[in-house]
Amino acid sequence: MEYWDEYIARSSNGTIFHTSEWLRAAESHANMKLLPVVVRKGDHIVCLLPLFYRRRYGFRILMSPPNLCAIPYLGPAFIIPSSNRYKYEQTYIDVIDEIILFAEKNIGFDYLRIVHPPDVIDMRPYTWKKYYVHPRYTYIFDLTAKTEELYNHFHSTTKNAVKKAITNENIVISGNIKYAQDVLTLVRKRFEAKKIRFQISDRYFQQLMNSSLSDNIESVAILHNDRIVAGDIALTDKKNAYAWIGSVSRDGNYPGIGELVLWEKIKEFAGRGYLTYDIIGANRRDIRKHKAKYGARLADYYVVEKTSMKGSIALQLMKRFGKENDE
Amino acid sequence: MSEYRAYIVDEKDLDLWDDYISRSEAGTIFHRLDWLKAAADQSNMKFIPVAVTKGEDLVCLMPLFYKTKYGLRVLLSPPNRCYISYSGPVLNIIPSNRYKYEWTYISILDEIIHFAEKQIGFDYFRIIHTPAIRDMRPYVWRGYSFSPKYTYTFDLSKGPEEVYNRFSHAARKYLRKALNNDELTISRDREYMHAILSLAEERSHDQDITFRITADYFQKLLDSSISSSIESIAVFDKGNLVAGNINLTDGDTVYAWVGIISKEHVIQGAGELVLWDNIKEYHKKGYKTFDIVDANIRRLCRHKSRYGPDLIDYPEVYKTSLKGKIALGLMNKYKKRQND
Repeated sequence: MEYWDEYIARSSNGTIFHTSEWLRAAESHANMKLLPVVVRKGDHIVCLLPLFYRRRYGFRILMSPPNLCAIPYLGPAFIIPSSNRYKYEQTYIDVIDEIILFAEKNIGFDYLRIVHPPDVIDMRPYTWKKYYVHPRYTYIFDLTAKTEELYNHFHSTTKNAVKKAITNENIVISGNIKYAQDVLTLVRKRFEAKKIRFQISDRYFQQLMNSSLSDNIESVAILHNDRIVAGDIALTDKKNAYAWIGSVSRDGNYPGIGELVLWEKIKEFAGRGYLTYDIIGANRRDIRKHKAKYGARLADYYVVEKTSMKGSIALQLMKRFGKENDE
Repeated sequence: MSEYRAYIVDEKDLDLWDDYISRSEAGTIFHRLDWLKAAADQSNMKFIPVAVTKGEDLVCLMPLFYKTKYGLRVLLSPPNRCYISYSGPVLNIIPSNRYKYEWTYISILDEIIHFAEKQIGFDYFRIIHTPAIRDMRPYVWRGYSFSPKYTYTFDLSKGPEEVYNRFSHAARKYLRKALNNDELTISRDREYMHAILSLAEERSHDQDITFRITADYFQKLLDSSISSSIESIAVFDKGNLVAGNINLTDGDTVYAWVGIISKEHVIQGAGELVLWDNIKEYHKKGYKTFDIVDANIRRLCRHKSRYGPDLIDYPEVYKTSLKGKIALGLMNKYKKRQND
């Protein structure tokens, strides 16, 4: 694993979630074994794939990412030299073929699931092997556009909400990371109130905060009388930022503070030269209604799954016991 | 109650169909009325032209094809065996902002799904969308299954040299050979279209594949308003047809609809020459995209990708009733046994 992060940094689609420290934290949090798979072409490493494995009720489960770790995308990270498109495509197909062969023959599984990031669109090597592919969606802001332009995409009610919050003299915005733990607690309370299992334990979060990734974890909190009433924890990697978790307190009336948090992050990340801001998740109908009001671009990404006959039963069990919220 | 209403378009109102399609971003040549009518005959299915309105405004057209077979109600867009790459809904939403666009889009698809399920009914329903339509959530939320499809396209706006630079070494070598072959002549004369089709049929027959474009179907297209959008290119070696394409022009896009290389008169680089000439010709005429149709069959992808095109994905969704699932399962088993 010594050189893992170096290759991830060089890969075309590696994310913060592919870094070794995040993977280690996810391994212990998900209680799955991390299998860091490498694909070589001759002497060159052309792909890294973090897989997570465990047996449950006699079923072999193989995932990338594991469940309940609040990791939106993972899957293979490619370092394919692209001298031309033909060679790139052939290498890409050979790499996925090799991964499939390795997963099927060398590891073995009853259920496999890989969630690819939005820029990996070619699922043909999977479909040719009868893997099931389905789409997922997220909203992404293009931060290369002028912030005013992004603001103009906001729905009128969202603009009004931001204006209201900005003129509220009783609230204070803080980007101090010391509030991150409190933001986490705020979000957890919201999930508990909705009776949804919250994925991020204090231990998992602390493990990330105590690692070198802490530089890539940022928070914004809105305080009223020194009490957090809204907040967001965002992640950054090479050129992209992610709205990882966030919530608004339901105690009290603070119109527009959720919108204000987002607007502050857009300005902040655009100002620092990030290319995109991904507000993660556009899949649930109820949450879509809220997120769509920001007028971000809808981006699709692909999930591949394969189950053995036995695995179909495992899947039902997982749905029953491992229900998660990815938004 | 939804403010959107789906209904079957009256025969007398179909005159307005093509005008709407031409104004829409996702409308293709395959959505044009004459093509749809020819496809209905070819597939032996009933064409159901569905419209969705919001108040007085027409916001979507959706060509559906229906038939019952062995007691199963099959609903398709496009129908099988018609060589139609894309179909599905054609929306004409004037968005004041992204939120309103998305809201309208989802409401329209909800209405279409509701109409297909409640007003028409089916045991198997499949829609292949154009690449412009990407948001499949309204289907996913209703339990539809999904399958990604792929095609290869060239961006002609960058000029032929840019496209050529992406060709693999082997593709360039073959093209040079063909360009240096003085015996080869290129014709864009329409009179060779039938010869190209016949050659394509022969090739399919040799490969034990049923060729789906019947003379009757093709003639119907040629006799219709589609005719001016159908073009061909043929390469001859001493009078023998060695390679050719039938292309479709559609707005700023060209589709390489049927392509063929002779196995009887094999000339190295003839296929590359057809492609290269098309790229130059359509760039010159101002087309922006050349879609070489279908990147889904593994053995063909290896060949097509040598030209360095862009890979584009487009969505297929389908839903099967329990009855449909049983029937499809039996059919697949039967087919497998036949193949064994």
